[in-house]
Amino acid sequence: VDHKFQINLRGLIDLLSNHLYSGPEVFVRELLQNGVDAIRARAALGPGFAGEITLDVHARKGKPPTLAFADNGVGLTEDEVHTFLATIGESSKKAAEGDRPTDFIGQFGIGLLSCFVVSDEIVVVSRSARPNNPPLEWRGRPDGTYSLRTLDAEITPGTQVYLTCKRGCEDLFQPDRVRELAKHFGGLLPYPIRVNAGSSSVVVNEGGAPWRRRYADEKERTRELLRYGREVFGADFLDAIPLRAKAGEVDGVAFVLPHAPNLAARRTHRVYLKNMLLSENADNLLPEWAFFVKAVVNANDLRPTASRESFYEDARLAACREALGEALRGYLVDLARNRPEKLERFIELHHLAIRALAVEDDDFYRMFIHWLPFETAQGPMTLGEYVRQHSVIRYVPDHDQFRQIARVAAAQGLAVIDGGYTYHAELLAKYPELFPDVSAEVVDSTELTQSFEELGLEEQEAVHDFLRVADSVLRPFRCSADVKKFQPGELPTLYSTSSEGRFLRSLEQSKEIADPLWAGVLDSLGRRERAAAPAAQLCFNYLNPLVRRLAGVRGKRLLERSVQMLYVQALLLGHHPLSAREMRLLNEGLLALIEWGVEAREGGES
Amino acid sequence: VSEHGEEVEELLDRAEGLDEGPAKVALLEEAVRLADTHGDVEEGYRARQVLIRAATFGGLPDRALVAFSWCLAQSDREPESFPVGELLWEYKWVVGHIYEFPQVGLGQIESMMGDMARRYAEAGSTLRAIHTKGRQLAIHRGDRRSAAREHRALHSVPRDWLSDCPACERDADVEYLAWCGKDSEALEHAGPILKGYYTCAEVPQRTYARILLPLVRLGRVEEAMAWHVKGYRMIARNPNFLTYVADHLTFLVLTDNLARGVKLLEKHLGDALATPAMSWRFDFYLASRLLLERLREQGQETLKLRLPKYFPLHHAEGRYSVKELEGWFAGQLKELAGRFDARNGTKAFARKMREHRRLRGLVSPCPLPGRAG
Repeated sequence: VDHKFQINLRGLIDLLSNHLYSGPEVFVRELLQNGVDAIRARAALGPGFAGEITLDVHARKGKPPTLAFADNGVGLTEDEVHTFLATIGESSKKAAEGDRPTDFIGQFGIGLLSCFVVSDEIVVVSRSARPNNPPLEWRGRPDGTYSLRTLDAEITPGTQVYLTCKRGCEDLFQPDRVRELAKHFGGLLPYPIRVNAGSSSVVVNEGGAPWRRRYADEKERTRELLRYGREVFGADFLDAIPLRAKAGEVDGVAFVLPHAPNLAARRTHRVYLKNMLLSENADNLLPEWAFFVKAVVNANDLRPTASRESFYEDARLAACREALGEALRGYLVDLARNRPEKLERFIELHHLAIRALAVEDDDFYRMFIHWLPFETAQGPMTLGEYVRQHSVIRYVPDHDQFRQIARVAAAQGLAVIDGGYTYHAELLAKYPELFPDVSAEVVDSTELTQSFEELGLEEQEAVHDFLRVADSVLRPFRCSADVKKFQPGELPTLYSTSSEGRFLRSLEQSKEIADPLWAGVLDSLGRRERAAAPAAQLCFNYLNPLVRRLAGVRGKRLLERSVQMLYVQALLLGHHPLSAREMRLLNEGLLALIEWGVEAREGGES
Repeated sequence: VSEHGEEVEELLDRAEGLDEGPAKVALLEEAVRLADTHGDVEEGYRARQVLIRAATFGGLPDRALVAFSWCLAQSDREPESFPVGELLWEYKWVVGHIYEFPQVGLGQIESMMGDMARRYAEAGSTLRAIHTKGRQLAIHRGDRRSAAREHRALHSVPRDWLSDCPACERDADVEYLAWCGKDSEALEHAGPILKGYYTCAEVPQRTYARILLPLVRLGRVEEAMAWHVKGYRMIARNPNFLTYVADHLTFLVLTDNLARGVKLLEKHLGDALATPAMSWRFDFYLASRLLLERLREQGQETLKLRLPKYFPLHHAEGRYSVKELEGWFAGQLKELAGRFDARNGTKAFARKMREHRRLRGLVSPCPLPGRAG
């Protein structure tokens, strides 16, 4: 008897194939899902039953290939066939919204629909495991017509679905591709999935989830898991960390990335729901700080979102995330205690992740801080090495300042750390809270200058005039002048400024080219509470022979020029861009010096 | 490519790998200085373009303004080399933050908006974005009539390529409605954002914060709690959201989660002390004062806190008197309110101070999910 669907099936298939499913290959996932559901339902009927799934690929000369999908699950009764057909109609709207029926029969219908994307006709042969049900054969066509009849043959309970390859889908019926897809979607399933093609017969999910298998020892486990990681993600990972969480019934494995990840990128993982692949892009299963791993995880008790891309954000997921974070933390702690070489390699690649976590987490901080490398005026060293030698942690919170003063600080015997890298300053500031025997100090160049040796009374008198001239030359540049003694002696000056000072310099730069409206706004912006103090200081080094000689020069013009040139030189040394005015100083100064040189020479010769 | 060009490139690359925030801005400033040191205007322009975005979304609007003014001047000088296109969009970021600096005069702000409007009109824009900024300024100054006028004006012209994205526009409408006291309307308007139909770089997290108070006022505290849990996580790491962190802190006080509130105070006070945007600081101090006031009323005399060294009341041993802290915040608030009101020629900030304090009447305890306290 021929019946008619009450829905526009063609429209629905089109909708499914183009919008709802990520690609036509999901028909394999849907068939596997149907098979698994049927096997579970049959297992619930009684013990002593072992589920299995078989896919037979037939290449046929001159005709399109076919695929037969068989499970030995619970099978369908005639009533159930009618129900799933009805469900297809009812659920069409729901399916379009990404919602799926929760009962087995309803699911079956929706799953079957996806087969129309690759096959023009679907034949289902099924026999229910419940007693007194004859085998049935259902033939459905995408125009919405189908036929149903009972079969005379004697067949064992279960369901077979026969598909005939649609034009354009040949690729999906290639034996290699079928094996690959069956493994991709069902690789974790606890029932054997066999793919037969010609003379070949392969179980694609031999052994089930690799992290659930038994291994001779830890080493073998790691080796096998890493091989699995390479197979799944195509990368040679650094290590494999087993994952387990009670909340959500989650287990899996996290692979330590073999390269430093881009911190701003989305971190996604491959997740399975009840051992069926759910998504390759789930991004909310692991804590945010876990950016050093890529994971494969199965969850039996988490809710997928409607888009089936990740899990629904609820208390259970939060608890699960916490537990998985705990597993990762445990791994790191074990590294720190027992495997120093591996730790070193890990830190090299992932120190950013460790630093980020240590900033937030005190226990973690205690565990790792001494292993972390820092840049110091004496070269790179771990903080552990540093605090063995020093009871005060001195650091400069940004790069440019560090570069400015590292050489001088080193000459004063100060071991200064560059805190300008991401999280460095926060980590260093936190140290004394957890290790009270050591204190931490921010060194800024202004303070450093204050620690320099003062001049004696007589020396002060000697530089008095020089200093007055220097001050008046530098005032227009919001810079004050001072003379002190510091190492190294060959350095004539130290220019010091704060980040506020540097900001004001950039503001001046913009002002130089801005129109009056913007110049006015910039002027206002530069007026801040702290603006009263000069933003920068040029400290002359009395240990430097040139500076000493300059202090004795009486010609005011020569003195002014010299101060200007030393100022510009100090700016250049500290990588400060010159403003137009400063550039003018440099140009005029150079010309004047040449002129003086030439004059002196001519004077000498004549 | 020149050697410094490669170095600039490397700094830009490194910055790209970082989350929004001061660390990223610092790298880009270094790139700008490097280009400038070599007198390379083109590299300087390019690096500043990246800096403007990072500073805008990383909580340093003063840095953005300075870099922007330089680019705008270069573009005015040589429009062929530095076309104005991107700058028109960035202009909105700068104008959207300019009133957060009380040292900038009202006349200057208005002239700047005039300059922006002129440039937009020249480019053929409907000026919808200009009215959005106008409404924002009116809200800041507490000028209801101008705000209503700009609100009508902005909805009477069609969207164009310079309008804020639909998510931002809707979120700003929610802000306006809530500011007018139309809580139910604001929430209704926020509906599509809350359902996830509108998103952008900063929406929905801004919306999650700004609907907390309207929800509390309507007695829908449990609903608000869900948005708090979801929203705070999204903004906790970026100082650009300080104002919104303040909304969350106020919410914690109003739901009697004072211990958690203290955690937030401890975590974000450094950002508030460092921010160049004084109105964000003001908002955060308001929430902090409310927290301290509640603590004092409940008999708490001291607090153990880890506060930054540059906090004026900083103690090495970390034990603080609640009363002393409260007094300090109140003093700072008064000073800030005074500066803003003087600049704005209104009394909006003084009023805001009084009104925020009265929120204590709304307290309705609601436990945080998952953990106790």
